Amino acid sequence: MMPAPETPPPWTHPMPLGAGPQTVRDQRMRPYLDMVRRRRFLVASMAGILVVSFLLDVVTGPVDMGFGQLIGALFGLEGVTPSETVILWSVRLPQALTAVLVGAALALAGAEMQTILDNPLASPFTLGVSAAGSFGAALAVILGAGLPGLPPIWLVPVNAFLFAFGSVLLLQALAARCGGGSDRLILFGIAMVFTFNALVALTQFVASESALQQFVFWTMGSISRTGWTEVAVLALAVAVAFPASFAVRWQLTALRFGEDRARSFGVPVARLRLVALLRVSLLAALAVAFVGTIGFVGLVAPHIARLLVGEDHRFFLPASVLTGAAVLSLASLASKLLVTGVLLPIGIVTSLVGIPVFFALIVGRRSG
Amino acid sequence: MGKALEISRLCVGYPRRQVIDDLSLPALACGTITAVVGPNAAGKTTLLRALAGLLPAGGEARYDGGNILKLKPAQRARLVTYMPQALPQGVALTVIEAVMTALRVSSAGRDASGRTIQACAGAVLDRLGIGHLEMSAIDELSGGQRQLVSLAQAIVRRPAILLLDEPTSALDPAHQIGVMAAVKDHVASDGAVAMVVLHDLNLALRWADTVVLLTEGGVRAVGRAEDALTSAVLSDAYGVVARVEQSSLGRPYVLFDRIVGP
Ligand SMILES: Nc1ncnc2c1ncn2[C@@H]1O[C@H](COP(=O)(O)OP(=O)(O)OP(=O)(O)O)[C@@H](O)[C@H]1O
Ligand SMILES: [Mg+2]
Repeated sequence: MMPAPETPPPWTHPMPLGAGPQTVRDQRMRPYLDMVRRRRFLVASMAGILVVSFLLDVVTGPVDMGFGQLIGALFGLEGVTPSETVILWSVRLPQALTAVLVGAALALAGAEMQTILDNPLASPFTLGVSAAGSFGAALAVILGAGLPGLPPIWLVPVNAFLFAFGSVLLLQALAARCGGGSDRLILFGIAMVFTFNALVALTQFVASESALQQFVFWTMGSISRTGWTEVAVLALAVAVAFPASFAVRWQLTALRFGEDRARSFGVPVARLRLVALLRVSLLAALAVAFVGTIGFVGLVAPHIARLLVGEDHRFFLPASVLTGAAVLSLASLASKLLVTGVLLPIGIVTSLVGIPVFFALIVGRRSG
Repeated sequence: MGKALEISRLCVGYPRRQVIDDLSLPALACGTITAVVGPNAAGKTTLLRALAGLLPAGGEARYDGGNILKLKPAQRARLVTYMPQALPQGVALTVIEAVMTALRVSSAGRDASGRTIQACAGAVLDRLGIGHLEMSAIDELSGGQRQLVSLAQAIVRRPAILLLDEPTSALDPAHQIGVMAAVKDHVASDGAVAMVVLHDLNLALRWADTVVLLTEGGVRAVGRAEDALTSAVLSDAYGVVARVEQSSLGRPYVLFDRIVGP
């Protein structure tokens, strides 16, 4: 099994396997390279599914539209009625893009949370980050409370962001106190969900009829009220957060081997956690602020990605993002198709679909 | 060569508890293996974690003209690698990915090509006799195999100071010898210092150049293995009647008979 003691240890040579003939070397390296290729293919397939579901989402709705009209309206060609152009540009496209971006944001937030908190059950929804954001939004919608000096249109998102961020900091403090993979963390998250839900109920209790209606609609998680401003802000957040987390992909992967080992490998764990939590709260808070509570995408998408490509964050992060985006895009499509003529709030659809998937994951974890 | 790790007046503790108080050791020369032995809760893990910068520590650990306790984390990581007692559960990575990550995450590995990294990782796995497992999921390995992967992660980084916490505790005899041989090769070829926590005193006698016997009261004995581990010292430290005898090959062996009576 072991080579004789007198053979020089391989790591004294910079390119140990380079010494052998080319074919031997290639043979030895092939399995891993095949795996990398397979993972690239899976990530690309996910992107393909996303594109298809996005296109279907855009052409589906009360007013029937074909791909011909879609292309016509996009490029201002002949044969498209002005109303079709308006529907496409001011309703279908921003909504479909919101679904994609919110799915991506929540999935990235969930993936990073699961890694830095070392807990497979971590997500913005299960750990109360969404609930905290909802409470912040409730304060703004119902009581009109928020940071002074802000334009009213920014009151809700800024409040949601502040509360979501605060809740993540609380989680961070607790995680630091009782060690990473602690079940207490999940219990604390559940406690936070209940606390903020109670606080939300309290504000609802004192709310006026119209504010209440506005807020209830808000909590259901709906993408029907978003326009290009929200799309732009979400796109910017994802465009900033994703490259930033991809840049620390090796550090995140190393953190999977435990905090001690990662620190011994030179990973600045405390800073990595804090910066990642900043990204998580930015993404989760914006998603909550713009579309309300959308459960399970942040939890389920990383799990699907992990099953597909493992936890090498080179593949895990993009796979999570693409899965989340595709799931929410498909949910948006389903919300139009499930009940003919009625547009269900997308948050309800993801929860209904998410719960069975969640159960399946738990059962799978037990037996596997 | 000529370099050494010199630990003096080291103090380490947890918030409410001082575990290591004023610990000094003779210089641990480069190219040698130091076995750290002692009863449970003696502070072996604490000592290694402090040297790895994972616990705040007072005192000095001089290496190459500097105090490694005072280094910035990034600088220290280039010099020191610590292998904890266990590899965590539930990690969805393959063996080769685990070892490549250990290299990738360091500043040295960041510039190297993927092929070089892969080749180094593969070579270390081959050397430890687990090359055939490189595409296996870590979670599906046996306890001993996981321990070997964990060791591969440490050795592939080629640290100048290698701190191993019980690297052989779950291994069969062949792999125990294989691991100690691999550590010996590493320290000899790189001129590294290895501190290895062992519970098997015979492994320490066979492979270590220096043995440190740690008890809750501090360093009980230190020196060449044959000199440090005498039956009187062992009986006292472990509370077990111990004999040190010569094997038929002329090597010293430790035998434990029974718990010391009241
Ligand atoms: N995180 C901690 N907080 C407080 N005390 C601790 C902590 N970790 C260890 N200790 C205490 O420090 C002492 C030394 O522990 P350490 O883990 O260093 O022992 P060890 O020699 O490695 O033992 P073992 O052979 O069982 O691994 C023990 O009394 C232990 O209770
Ligand atoms: Mg220990």
